[in-house]
Amino acid sequence: MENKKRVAVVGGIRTPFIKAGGDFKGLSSLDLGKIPAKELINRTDISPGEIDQVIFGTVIPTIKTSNLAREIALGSGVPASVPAFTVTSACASANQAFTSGIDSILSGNSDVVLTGGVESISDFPVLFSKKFRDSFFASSKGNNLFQKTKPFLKMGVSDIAPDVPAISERSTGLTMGESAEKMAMIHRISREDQDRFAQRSHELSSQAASEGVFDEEIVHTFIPPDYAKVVAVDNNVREGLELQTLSDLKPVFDTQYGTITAGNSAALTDGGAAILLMSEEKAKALGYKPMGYVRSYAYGAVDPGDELLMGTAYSTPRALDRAGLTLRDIDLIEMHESFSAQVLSNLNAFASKKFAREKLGRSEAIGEVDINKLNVSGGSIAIGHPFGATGGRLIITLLHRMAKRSANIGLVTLSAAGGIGVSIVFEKE
Amino acid sequence: MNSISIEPQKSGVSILKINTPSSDENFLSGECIEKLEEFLDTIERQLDMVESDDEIKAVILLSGKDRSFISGPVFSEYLNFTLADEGRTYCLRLQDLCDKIENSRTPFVAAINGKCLGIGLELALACNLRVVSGTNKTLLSMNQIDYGLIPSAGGMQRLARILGTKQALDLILSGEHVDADDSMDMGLVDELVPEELLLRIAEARAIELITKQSHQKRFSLKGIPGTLINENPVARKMLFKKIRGEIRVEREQSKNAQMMAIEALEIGINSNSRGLHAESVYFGELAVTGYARQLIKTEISIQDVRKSDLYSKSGSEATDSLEKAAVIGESMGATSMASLLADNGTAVRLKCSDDQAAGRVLKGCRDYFSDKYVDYAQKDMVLEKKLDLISPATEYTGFKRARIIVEAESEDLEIKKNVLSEAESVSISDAVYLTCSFALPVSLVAQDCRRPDKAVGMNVLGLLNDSELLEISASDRTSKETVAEIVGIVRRLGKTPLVIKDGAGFYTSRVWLSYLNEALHLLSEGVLFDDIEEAMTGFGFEDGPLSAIDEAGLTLVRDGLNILFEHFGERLKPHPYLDLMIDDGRLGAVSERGFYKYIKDEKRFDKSIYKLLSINERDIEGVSLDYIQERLLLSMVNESLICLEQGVLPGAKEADVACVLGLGFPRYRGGPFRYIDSDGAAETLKKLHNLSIKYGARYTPPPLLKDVAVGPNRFYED
Repeated sequence: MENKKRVAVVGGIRTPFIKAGGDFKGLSSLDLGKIPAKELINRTDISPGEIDQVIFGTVIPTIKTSNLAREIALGSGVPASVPAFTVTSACASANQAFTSGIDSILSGNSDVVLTGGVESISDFPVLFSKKFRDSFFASSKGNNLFQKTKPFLKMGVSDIAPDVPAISERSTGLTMGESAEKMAMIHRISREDQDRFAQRSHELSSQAASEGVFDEEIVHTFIPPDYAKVVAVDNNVREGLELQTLSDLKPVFDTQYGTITAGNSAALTDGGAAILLMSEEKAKALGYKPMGYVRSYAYGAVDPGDELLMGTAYSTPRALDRAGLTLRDIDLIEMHESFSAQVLSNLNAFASKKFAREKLGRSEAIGEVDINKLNVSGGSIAIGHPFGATGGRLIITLLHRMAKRSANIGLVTLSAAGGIGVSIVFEKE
Repeated sequence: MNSISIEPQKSGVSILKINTPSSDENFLSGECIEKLEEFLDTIERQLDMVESDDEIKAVILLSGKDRSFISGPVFSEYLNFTLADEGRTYCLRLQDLCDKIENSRTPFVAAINGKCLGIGLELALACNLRVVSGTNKTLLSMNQIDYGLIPSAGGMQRLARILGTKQALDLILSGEHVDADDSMDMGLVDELVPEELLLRIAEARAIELITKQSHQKRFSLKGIPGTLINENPVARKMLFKKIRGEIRVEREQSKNAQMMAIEALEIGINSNSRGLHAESVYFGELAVTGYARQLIKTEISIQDVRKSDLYSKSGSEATDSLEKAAVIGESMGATSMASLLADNGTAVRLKCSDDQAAGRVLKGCRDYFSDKYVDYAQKDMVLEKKLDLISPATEYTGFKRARIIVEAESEDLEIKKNVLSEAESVSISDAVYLTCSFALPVSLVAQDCRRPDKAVGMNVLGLLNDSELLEISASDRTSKETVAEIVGIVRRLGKTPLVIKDGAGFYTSRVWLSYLNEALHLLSEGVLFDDIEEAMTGFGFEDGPLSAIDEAGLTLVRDGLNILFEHFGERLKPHPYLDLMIDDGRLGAVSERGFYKYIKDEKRFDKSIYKLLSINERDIEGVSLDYIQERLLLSMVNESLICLEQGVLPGAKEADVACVLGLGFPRYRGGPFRYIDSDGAAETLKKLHNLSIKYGARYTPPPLLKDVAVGPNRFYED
């Protein structure tokens, strides 16, 4: 790996993750992007003129800011001459933004890239029905009041009902939860194991929060218009959550045989994250001490009709191969927890020789994950899951944890809707 | 360089470019008027001759300056009028010039970008068409009333013909500034265009006028019904009567100008020529009144100080923008500095002691912007953009790129010194450090710091956003480069810098606190509360001194006086009333209780004050308002004299401008040194001497006054 160009992560900041409809309900995706981006620019003292490109990811489209990254850049003091684009890849959107930044630097197109991801689930757009929109369009072409009104008269009552953004997989018609139920059944993940894993997530998160582990990564967020309320902690994390409380919850998706509950899946959350990337030489030239370097990354994908959220089991071995490492070399892992069932299914697959042979075409299993290295300060089940921002949080959290421990190699991995998986390997030195 | 140049275009249109030499703005000088007259004669003569190819077919009036079409007359020329007749002659000449433009067979188009004030607007109104650029630089105003004068070139009548009598009078009597959008809405201009297209469109319109031949589009009142209702003799008569009745101005002199404007317009509506005659007579009379002359002198002094190059780096005027600044603190000063900087496009890192404090500062900035941009079409967008520039923090992060660091902590030397050393450790070494205070000298704050050459003080007695003046104090150790840099920054923020020698208290704080303290002395001597207030509003201040104490906050006044007392002794010892009131929880407007009670938007004198301060109401005696004025003004005057003697300020002119811009000293009074001159130094000396016998050393005049009294007897030559 010597003499190879490396990408350095110079800094990362995120907003607290707040339950949808809560304190952040007045903030747009744009706001949730600008807040961490501005703070990151301040904390790193980077001259915004040094930034070559801005890339942000988001899932739910915003009507007035379709190129969200550009608006974030302009609102954060990045010069207007710096280009920006927005990516989307379900829950991996921030990772996609991040790896696009890596590509941009490795290809020599950029030296400094501001990336990140945001999601405001509180601020989702509602569309008029197709019929309604057609009528608007036809009406706008009318020359007089009669012609302008006529298209609407043809509409039925049901056409007035709005279209909400899809939550089910388009190709299978299954929601994420239903897919997770399917995984739990295939991999025989018990309800109790799922609840225990969820409890672990809350326990580790609340412990980390009380130890101030997140202080460095969270920007205190002032709520307009009065700014009297200042949010500084993730509000989904529950301290002292009893297993019994989780067991008492009713399954949400399959009320008869199901095991997936609101407790053992990630909550809908608002939040944003921003990360500053640089080529190693540039970081050194500007006098930065990077938090870590990207050693490799890889994507993988599965048929959504099969097991939707297994992407991480496909992307991880590839990323490890590219890094020239095995799972045993990894000191810390941040794996996205969309559902306990999804995490546990993937861990099974990691350890399974059969899975390796049948699905990956490899003779050996990826490896057994040491649970003590996994999500050491909790995960998305406790902290929350603002779709487009989560990937950013995983990277920021991992690098902050690595800085505090003797860990030298870290892995971020995430399974996203659409059957996509992403894995990124980091090294501290 | 010539003030007027003529640039013929291929189209046959000529551009008449106005360009006042060595000035950022255009002012219409006598020489300029002469050139215009010559030009008009030339084109008239041309028209009488056989057609030729280089004939001027139309004229565009254009400015060579970026921010000024014509900002007014050359005011110093007005001071040459010693007889009413001279002003009248000047007026007749301008009327003639505008008539010639209006009646010329060659069409005229005014292409307006930047300030178009007073005589500038009158010239524009005489043109056939007015095209303005839609930028925020564009401002139109008939502002002669601000100088105690009336429009002097037939502009009132033209305005009334274009806008209708009522709206015209509103503009003339208020001197209100109209921005580009409003000027279009009210019909004051004919077309609003992007700045880049200004000349091209003006030229296109000029060419249209040549071909149309009918450029006499004069009556453009909004619709016939409106005209019938508002513009008939009976309605007008009622209007004039009503407006006359509404004029309630404290000062007789300013009422004069307003009445004369109304009078001249009323005559002019019935007969154009008699109206012009009346206008010229009234203008002549007004121009020689002491009231107008002092207003003009004050304006000249302000312009002088504004463009003074006393502290600028020679040759290298810093024009690059200020990208980033840091503001430390949560006081009003911090809020106003943060909003002022962000308003001018500078990114601000705001460092407060905790989140709640930072939230309050953010809210203060938001409120400021909401108020300021309330009428903007894109208000929300403007608000978002300004607020995006401010990022709050509770740690010293994000300081490394700040070119200036503004410290606006509470008035405590130890805190200020600590903050300075903390800030120094996190910022670049050549950042300018601005410590905001109303009394602490920068030399003390910066005594232990690493770069005392980069430290300057700034006065925050008033609200920065409201005041045009920013008082900067430089210690012996402050470098010339630092002073030049901060002066450049202050100018870019749209403020007028006044650099003073460092010491305890700034010039304006010393004068102001001395004045407020004296008001308390008067109160304790048994002078009626209302009389004190009335005397000073009668003198021309916006508020009385006791209201001013409430507004500033009693703690601020007391703490400020205490610091001054420490340094200057007995003279500025805070009156014991301040402590009594503060102990009673009367902190001023902030606590809704001070000398006044604040209930909603109203304030009422709080009579229980008398009891609290053990003033026996029966002891209260009536003294004349003149006496009160004299006492309070002489306390200001004496402190000003001491400042000048100590070399705090470069001169009397700077002191006066500081009082006018910073303390709201009435413009038509000019400032403390103009006040001395109005009596003569010898007379002032005598009065101060007598007061010092009666009230002690705080009225003892410094030797400087004696020198002037036996010498020229005045501080100004004019």
